Amino acid sequence: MSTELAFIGDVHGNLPALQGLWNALVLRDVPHVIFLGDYINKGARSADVLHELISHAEAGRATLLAGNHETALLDALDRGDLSTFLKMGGAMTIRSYLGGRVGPDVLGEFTTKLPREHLKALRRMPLTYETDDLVAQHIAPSSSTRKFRISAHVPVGDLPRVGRRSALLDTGCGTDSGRLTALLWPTLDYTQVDADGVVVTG
Amino acid sequence: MQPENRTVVAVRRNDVIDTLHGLGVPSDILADFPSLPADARGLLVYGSQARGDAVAGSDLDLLALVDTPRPSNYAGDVNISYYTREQLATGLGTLFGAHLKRDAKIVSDADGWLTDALEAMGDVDTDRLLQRAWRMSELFASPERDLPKYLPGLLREARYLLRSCLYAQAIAAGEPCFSVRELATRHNDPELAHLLASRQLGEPSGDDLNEYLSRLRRIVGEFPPSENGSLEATIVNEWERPGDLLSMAFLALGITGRGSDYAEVEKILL
Repeated sequence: MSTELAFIGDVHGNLPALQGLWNALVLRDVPHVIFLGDYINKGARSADVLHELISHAEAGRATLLAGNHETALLDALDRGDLSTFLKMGGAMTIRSYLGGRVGPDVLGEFTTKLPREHLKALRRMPLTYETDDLVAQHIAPSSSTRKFRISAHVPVGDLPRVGRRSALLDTGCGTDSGRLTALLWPTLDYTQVDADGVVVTG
Repeated sequence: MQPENRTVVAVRRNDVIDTLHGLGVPSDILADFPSLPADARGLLVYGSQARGDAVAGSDLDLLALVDTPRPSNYAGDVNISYYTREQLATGLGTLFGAHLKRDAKIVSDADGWLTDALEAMGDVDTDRLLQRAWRMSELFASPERDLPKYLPGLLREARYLLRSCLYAQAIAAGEPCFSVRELATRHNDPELAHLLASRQLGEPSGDDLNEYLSRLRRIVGEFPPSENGSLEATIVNEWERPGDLLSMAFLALGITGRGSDYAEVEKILL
């Protein structure tokens, strides 16, 4: 059975992990990848992660769903209030766009430095990806569906939790010891990289 | 922390209420006493009810030793803070530790852990504490950017710093005191008792903040100029240098979000 799709959990600003896992999927000829959101915060490279993801999406090779961190960022920009986003660790994302010290007007500087294409991509991100057989979104979909459910958001340790009816994929990427996980569909096999982007074997 | 391999002796609510009643805590306060979590291993009372100088309207302040960290909670006039053994051990050499060691009365302590923890609390380095408070007060040096948006958080922190500095002053003078009413008397400043009360009624105001800050300046001196120019910039610029200033700025945002995908800073214990 050949792989039709791959689903990837929280990336949280870890560029080497994203690149390592992407390369591993390219080697396996995975035609399309669904990212389940939470690309920003925690790790140091949120801006670069979004840049890379957007280029994959524009090439038609990836679909980017929104996670709660992206939703909080948009909400902060729309309301002109950074406080909730900062409480979630938004400082790391802001730092990644500013590249140095920020002046007193954080929102003003951040808004100026956030590329228009990034903002457009963030606004375009849907919450859900659904086919006849599966439903995927950042936060676990309702269990009332008969379809296979794929989600991230809740850290599950080093290994994803793959069951008969659902899979949970947040394996802590963005922290020093976290991994980034791709679930392959329809085999439900998975592949992982460590925080440095090296494929985890065994 | 995982329970050690022995019989867990949970704290029983009825026993606790009997003991607190015996310590003179009024029945009407105890009527609000909430049920304790199943992992509560020990309990102590501190503050005015422990010292025996409570007045009408005084809260009942309790500390419960638990296995799993959780936020403190209020039920009526009963305030319970939850500490794990590790968290309590961070109080060593702090004002909070000195406060507990001096005033706390143990209500329940089947394992002897609370007794041991209080015994270990040690002395406070008051010079260092006042220096740290001065450094933290940088956070109040950019009001033109931060007010009124962050007034509630800044007000709470100004109160915390002023109270801490007054406690430290009293210790340094050789007359430790953790009663805000007693401090008000000593400083001939009747407003202090009201200003320093943990629970404040009514909307926070800029005038209240100035009341705290003028008193704080009298203790620590003129505040350092703001290096970052705003509270939000302090959080962003200091993010990878965790320390007092970041902790204060972050907590001024409001109640820290819960859940494992939220950044949290370590508990401040001056």
